[in-house]
Order: sequence, then C-alpha cells, then structure tokens
Amino acid sequence: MDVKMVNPFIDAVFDIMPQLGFKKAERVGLKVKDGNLTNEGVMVLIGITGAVRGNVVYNLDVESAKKTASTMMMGMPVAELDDMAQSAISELGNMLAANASIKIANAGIEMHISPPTLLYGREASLKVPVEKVLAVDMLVDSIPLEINIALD
Amino acid sequence: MEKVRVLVVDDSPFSCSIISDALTEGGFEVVGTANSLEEAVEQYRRHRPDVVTMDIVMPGADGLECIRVLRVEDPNLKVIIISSMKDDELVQEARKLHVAGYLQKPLDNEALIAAINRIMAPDEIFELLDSMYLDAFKDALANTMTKVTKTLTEFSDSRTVTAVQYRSLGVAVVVGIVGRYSGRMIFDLAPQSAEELARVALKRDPKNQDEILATVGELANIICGNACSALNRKHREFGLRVTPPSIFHGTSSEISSPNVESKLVNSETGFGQIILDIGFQRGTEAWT
Repeated sequence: MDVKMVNPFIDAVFDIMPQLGFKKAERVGLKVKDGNLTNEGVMVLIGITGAVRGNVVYNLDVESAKKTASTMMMGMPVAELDDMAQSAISELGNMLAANASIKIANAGIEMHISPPTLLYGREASLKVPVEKVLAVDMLVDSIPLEINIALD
Repeated sequence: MEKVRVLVVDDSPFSCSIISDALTEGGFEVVGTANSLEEAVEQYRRHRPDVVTMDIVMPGADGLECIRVLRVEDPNLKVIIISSMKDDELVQEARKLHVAGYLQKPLDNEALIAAINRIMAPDEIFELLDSMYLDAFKDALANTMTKVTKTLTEFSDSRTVTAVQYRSLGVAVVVGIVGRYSGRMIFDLAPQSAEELARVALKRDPKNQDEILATVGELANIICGNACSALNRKHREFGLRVTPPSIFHGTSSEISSPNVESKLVNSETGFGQIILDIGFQRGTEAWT
C-alpha cells in the first residue's frame, strides 16, 4: 500500500471533528498490523473500490463511542449505545471516509466508498483481505480513535 | 396530499424571506427558518422537516458543516443548497454529502419548486432495483453453492428490515457495494458451517482458521459480484461494483447498518443455515 494514501484519512479527522463539536484532534501513533484486527468495542467498516481497493475500519472502545456520539449530538447524554448513538457513530465513519475520498480524488486517484457497517462485540475480530494494515492512533479530545487502513 | 414541509436555513433574514415566499407560493409549507447552526439544529429537532434549504456561507459555521451536523440527526436528510457561490470544489463537496440539489442565488423560484418536486417524487430506478435485487442475490447464492459444492439451497423466510441489528451466527462476511446506489451484502453462518463449506470448496481439509475465513470470504465475494453483474445486465444505470470482503468473526458479535434499509433472507444449505442480508441506500437524483 502506498503511504501517501494514509495522510488523507488523518487529515479527514482534522477537518471533520472540529465541525462536529470536538476541540482538538491529534495523531499519536502509527503501527503496522496483519489483516486480523481485534475489535476494541465498536468498529465501523467501510469498503473502498476504484483505482484503490480495500477497506477502512474505524475502531473505538464502547465508552469512547458513547462520548463521541454524545458530542456529535451536541451534548445529548448517551448512556447506552442505542440506535441513535449507533447511527451517529456509523455516520461519523461515513463522513471521515467520504472526506478522505475527496482528498484522494483530488490527487487524481478514483475512489468510491460503500455505506458503513457497524460491528460490535469485544470477543470479536475482523479479518480484512490484505497482508498489511496501517493503523493510525488518533486522540480526539482525549478520546482514542484508531483508523485501520487496509488497501491493496 | 400533505404539503411538503421545508426548513429554511440562511444567515440573511432577507434571503430567508425570499426563499420562504417562493416556497409558500409553490405550495409548500415553511415550518421554520434558522439563521445559524444552533438554530438549524433546534428547528430541525422541533419540526422534522421533509426538506432543508441551506445557505453555504454563514457566520460561525458554514452550510456544509451544518449539513454534517444535521446528518447526525437524520442520515437520509434531504438538503438543497441555495447559495451565491457555486464552484467546482463546493459542488464536489456537496455531491459527497449527497446533497439533493444545488441552486445559485439570485434564486430562480421555478427551479426551486422543480427541485423539491423532483426530490419528493418516487425514485423509479431505486424502486426497480429494490424490486429485483433480492431474487438476484438468492439466485447468485444458490448457483454458487451448486457450482462450488454440488449442493442445493432452500430458502425459507425473507423480510425487509430497517436499521437491522442482529447477532451474527459467528462468521459474517461483509461485502460493500458502490454504484448509482451504494449498499452492502452480509453473508452470515455458524463457525462449523464455515469450516464444512471451506472443506468442500477446497476439496481438502482447511489448513487453519485463516484459510477457512479466506475461503468463505471469497465465496461471499463471488455471490455478491455475480448478483451485482446480473443486476447491471438488467439495468446498466445501476453500475454496481463490489469492494473487497471483510470477515467479522467471534462469539458475541453484533452487526448493524443504521442507515441502510435491507432485505434479509434465511437459507438452508448443505452446510446449515446461511443468512443473506442485502441493503441499499436510497440515493439522490443527479443534479447539475
């Protein structure tokens, strides 16, 4: 996978999160994983096709997902990850991936994204069909958000 | 017929009144006007309008930001941008946000009325896809199982579900779909079924769990690809393409697709139960 494909996904977080009521986003780490991803709580899976193919998976633990949904809903309390909160989290994944795809398209690389699928359960894993996944750790208002970029 | 209910968002009270007048004259009901992001959210929550008109340039928050925030409230929200500005970059951003229409100020009242009528009209191509995709996926599943495993597939109940959320049988392959309408297919089966299916498909014992998952993933990929091709042959405009399969597996995994209306079908195969869950998002009509 071309490393220049990674920055648009990071920049999307910097672009989108402030628009949803978050104050500070920072990149805290980057690691390489194999195609077996462990779910920390909630995964938002989005398929990618075009000149690049693969998947992007946003991963949060359950508490972080609740906090994130609450901020996105302008501070509405989120006690449980109910339908509304799930909808917010999956829409977040959609917005982040869509923003990244605009940046990638602007660089002349055709890219289309599928709707998000939300997966949760701590005893669960996700296998993506690539050997290497680049995992970017972000902190958004101290909430950890992991972006797994799994492109061919 | 009930009047279409519209919320007008524009920082200029002058523009709000022009747009509201045009809408009222066109036979629509203006349920509210908002001059800022906060007001827009508040009014949206109160009125749940059918359509929102949105200015792009507003103090404090731009219209695109406002659309993103409202999308959290309703991912299928129908928005028409009405702005003095319209350049390639804005148009591209608007398309990615699935904005339903883009009109430039000064406002052409007829164009606004036409745009709302178009948005609220049934989307015939989507209805067509909706009416035929379940059969296409059932055929693709049955044919693939016959070809690869020489076994028959029987279908029991099928139902349409919204915001489906269910516990996976243990191994769930998710294949994304993009095209005129985007969507996804989930192919779900028990771990023992996955293992047995992989054994028959490979014609030998699978080496390990990874190989089982990869084999099942590839079968799901073939099923989804075949179904999409069959649909494209019937209607070229669908332009459906699949994304690489990901496989979710675990003891207590739940799956949901909050913003997709889907059809779920239960099948009994030579390897036990397989659930196919296929859903597409209603898109917005093309605009220029």
